Amino acid sequence: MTAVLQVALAGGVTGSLYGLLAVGIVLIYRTTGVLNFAYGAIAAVCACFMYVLLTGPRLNFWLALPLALIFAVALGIALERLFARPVLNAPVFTKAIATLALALVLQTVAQQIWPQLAQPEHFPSPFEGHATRIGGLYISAIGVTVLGVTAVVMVALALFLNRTRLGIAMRATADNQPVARLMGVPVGLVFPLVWALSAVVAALTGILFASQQAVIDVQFMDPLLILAFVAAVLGGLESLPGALLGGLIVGLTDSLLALVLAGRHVGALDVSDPGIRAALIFGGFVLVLLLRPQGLFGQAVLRKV
Amino acid sequence: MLKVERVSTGYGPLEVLREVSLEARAGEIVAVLGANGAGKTTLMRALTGLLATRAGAIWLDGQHVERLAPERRVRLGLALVPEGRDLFGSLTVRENLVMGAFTRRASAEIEAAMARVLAYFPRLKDRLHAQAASLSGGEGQMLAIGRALMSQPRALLLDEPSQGLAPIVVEAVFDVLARLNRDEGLTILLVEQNARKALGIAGRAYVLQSGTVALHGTPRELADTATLRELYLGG
Ligand SMILES: Nc1ncnc2c1ncn2[C@@H]1O[C@H](COP(=O)(O)OP(=O)(O)OP(=O)(O)O)[C@@H](O)[C@H]1O
Ligand SMILES: [Mg+2]
Repeated sequence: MTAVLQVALAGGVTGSLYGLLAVGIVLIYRTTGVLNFAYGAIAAVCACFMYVLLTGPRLNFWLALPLALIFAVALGIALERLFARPVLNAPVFTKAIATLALALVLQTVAQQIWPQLAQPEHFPSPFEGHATRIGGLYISAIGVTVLGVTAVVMVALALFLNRTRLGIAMRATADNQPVARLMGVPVGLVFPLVWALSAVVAALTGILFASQQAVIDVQFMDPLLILAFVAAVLGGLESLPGALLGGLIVGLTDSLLALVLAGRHVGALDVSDPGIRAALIFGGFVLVLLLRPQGLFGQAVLRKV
Repeated sequence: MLKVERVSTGYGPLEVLREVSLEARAGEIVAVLGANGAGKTTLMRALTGLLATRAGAIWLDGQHVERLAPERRVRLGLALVPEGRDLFGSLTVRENLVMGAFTRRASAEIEAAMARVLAYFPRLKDRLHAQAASLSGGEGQMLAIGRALMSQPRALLLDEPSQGLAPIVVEAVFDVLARLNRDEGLTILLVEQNARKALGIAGRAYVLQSGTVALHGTPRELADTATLRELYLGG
């Protein structure tokens, strides 16, 4: 029983990280029609910036954090201006491919500026080594922080998008951009805002993941990104809670598979290998999409394209 | 109030409007009639700024607006009820109305505008928290008009508000337009294929044919012309 709870907790924590990334991906996709494969690189660059603040001038973690988030806002706005705006009217597929190039550019530039991060480096965080036991359950400080930050981000996003003028304008722009302009929404300001917001979510996720791993390099978010896309598509690529739920499902599945497959072999094949788990998750994902092309929670949308 | 002077525009190589001139004076209801593809919606896009003009001028209260972005024109008092309503389907009725008042900042002002809209369209009151996509055709049109009114426009543009509505609903919608014009002096530019209904409330009308103004005059003058009768009033 404890083992299962322990696995569920671990799955919930990694699932939250997938979910946060998926939320950011859906946010950009819904508002600007960009399927952003550079999202992992954005998260990584922001976390790398945080690493540099922590190790270079040796800033306190809680001082470096807001600076890293400000950096994320600036990066988001810059990417919207320099990358997203020029390709705004291109087909969705073209834009998606362009983000792959963007990811490469971001990682290359980051590696040029911070060559030490080409290899894994130790990422110092105040969560390191802090954990407690409740019952038989091992609970790490970073695990609790991940769950807490995820909850706060989701509630804050929901309040912003549903209760504020600007948030409603963002949803209206996602719904029908020309008509949003007709209502007087300066769409030219909404797009950078969306990119800034999702870059902040990316930065938080990157910093949380780096703290959890205690190591960082320029490409450390890449393995997460693919599963975050799985989560976003499971959620139907349209709702933020759907994306989070998709992330949790992926995370829990991964942890449960790890438990079930631990130490097992099929013939000469060691099935406890993480690669095998990823393959199984993709297999299940393809199966789900065959049965429900609109994702697990997506509805057939009442909307003209 | 609203004046269009020799405006030409189109899409890519296709020129749709050619030197269109028309005018809606303060407090007038002006109808723009025309068959499918005549360029009525294109004219609305040019007026609101969704489509750039290639030549000519648009004046709103004596001010040049043809180079201004759509949001600037809304602030100056121009609002459009788009063809096919174009609601924000995933937003609630209330949120659609709030979006209509995006250019207004004071919340007291927004609440007052909402109360006024709901007085004209009491049906919307019970549906405030429903998703706009779930509205019936008539309710949707009321919301589209209400949303446009939320910006407190001085000139209201409507693109085929009768489209797809039952006759009794069309009646109700046109009744509200007439009241808005009579009680509040709202200037209305009404694009319609339903010539009979439009001429019923308009003071003057223009007939658009292949992107040019073919005719204009009072409803009485137009009703006598053979062209209009053949084209729109069924012979
Ligand atoms: N976005 C567009 N791109 C290219 N051509 C367009 C576009 N929109 C309209 N057209 C063309 O411009 C011409 C005028 O179209 P418009 O929509 O203005 O006509 P309309 O009078 O509003 O017609 P309807 O009564 O069917 O609404 C048509 O030939 C149409 O095919
Ligand atoms: Mg039209």
